[in-house]
Amino acid sequence: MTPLPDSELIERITRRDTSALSELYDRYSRLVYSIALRVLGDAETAEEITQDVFVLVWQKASSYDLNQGKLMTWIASIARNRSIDQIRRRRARPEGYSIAWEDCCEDDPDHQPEVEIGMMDHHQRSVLVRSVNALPAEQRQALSLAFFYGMTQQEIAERLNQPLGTVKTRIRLALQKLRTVIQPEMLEGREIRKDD
Amino acid sequence: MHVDSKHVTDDLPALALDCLEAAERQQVLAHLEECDQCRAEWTSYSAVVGVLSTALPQVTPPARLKRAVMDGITPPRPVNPLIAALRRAFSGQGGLLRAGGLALVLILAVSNLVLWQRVNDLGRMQHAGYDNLVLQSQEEGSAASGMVIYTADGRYGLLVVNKLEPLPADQQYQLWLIKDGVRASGGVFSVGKHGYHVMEIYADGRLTDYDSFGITIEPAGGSPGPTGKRVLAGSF
Ligand SMILES: [Zn+2]
Repeated sequence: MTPLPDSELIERITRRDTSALSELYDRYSRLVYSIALRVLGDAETAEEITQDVFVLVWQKASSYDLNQGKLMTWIASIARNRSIDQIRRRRARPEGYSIAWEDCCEDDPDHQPEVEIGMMDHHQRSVLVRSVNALPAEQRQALSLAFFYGMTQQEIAERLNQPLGTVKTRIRLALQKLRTVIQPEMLEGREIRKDD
Repeated sequence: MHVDSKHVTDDLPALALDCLEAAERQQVLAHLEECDQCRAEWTSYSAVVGVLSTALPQVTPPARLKRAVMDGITPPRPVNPLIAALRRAFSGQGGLLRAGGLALVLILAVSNLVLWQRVNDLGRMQHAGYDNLVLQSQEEGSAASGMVIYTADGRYGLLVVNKLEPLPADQQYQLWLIKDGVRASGGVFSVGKHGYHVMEIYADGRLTDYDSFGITIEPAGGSPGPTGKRVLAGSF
């Protein structure tokens, strides 16, 4: 059976079709859970966040606009925002947990992921991961602290013992650089088919 | 803040990452309210952060989590008193229907003509505050029929249909609740090989506030408004 396009799934969800949410879950639960797990470092809380995210998608499906980008990106953003909120509320992570881009996101050109749907295209991911890894180490570090740890620029400056302005510049340069390598097909709401 | 105030371009990557201090964040957001240019920039940085999030290696969550998610979106509804009444109506006739409300709906949904006739015999329910509206076939020569059974206050309802044509997989029946010409979806369903189905009706308001009900054939999953052939209809 051909999987339904994301646009149709989300439309069905706005019509309260629980089987569509079930399918959406099968497609994106790995994505959501993985983001929560990386940010929070704690499986139990990652499960709670995953549940929250899908309930939110169920409630807010009508606010998703296909023209604003891919459903996958929208869901990933919700997952990260929720996870960061949770980290800030708790003000702590499990003892000894640490995470940085280079720990989790190495570019492995030989690794072909088994799951196609609900994941970023393998080639696009390689491009992105290589670009993150090519950032100057101090930019990558600032990005990790903001992205995974939910630290504000002020907190990052204190942690690294650097002037706030320096941290702001690092964050800005890192995102500016990454924006130049993001290809339109990573952003567009249209479906990307395997045989395109 | 006015549009001609200083652009906040430099802070937009940090806003997209949500790593501004609260006060700064407020200022930047206030500027975005009024500046399309900065808002467009912010949208593009937010997309970068979103795409970064999708690039993380994926881990499969425990299987039980799906159950929790699905339970979380379908909170237990108050017991539909109709189901309780149907259960009482059937309870004299052998142990088959001494099951719980939901089980009853399931039994009805897969059952046959005999049960349909029992449902038709609703006279004894009416004095207990239940009523029904018959839906007539809209096609010459069709044996299809339907009925909306509802509580007198219109708050709970069941749709029962019989002898509707089974549809191909890409189509489903959709119930419409019609008031002043406006049609709201009352639910989407498919029928088994006998054309029989029972469905709880979910309505925003009271069922008795509607003028009429109709059932059309729609693409699977239903439509925002009726587009296909009308098969059953009934008015108060
Ligand atoms: Zn501006």
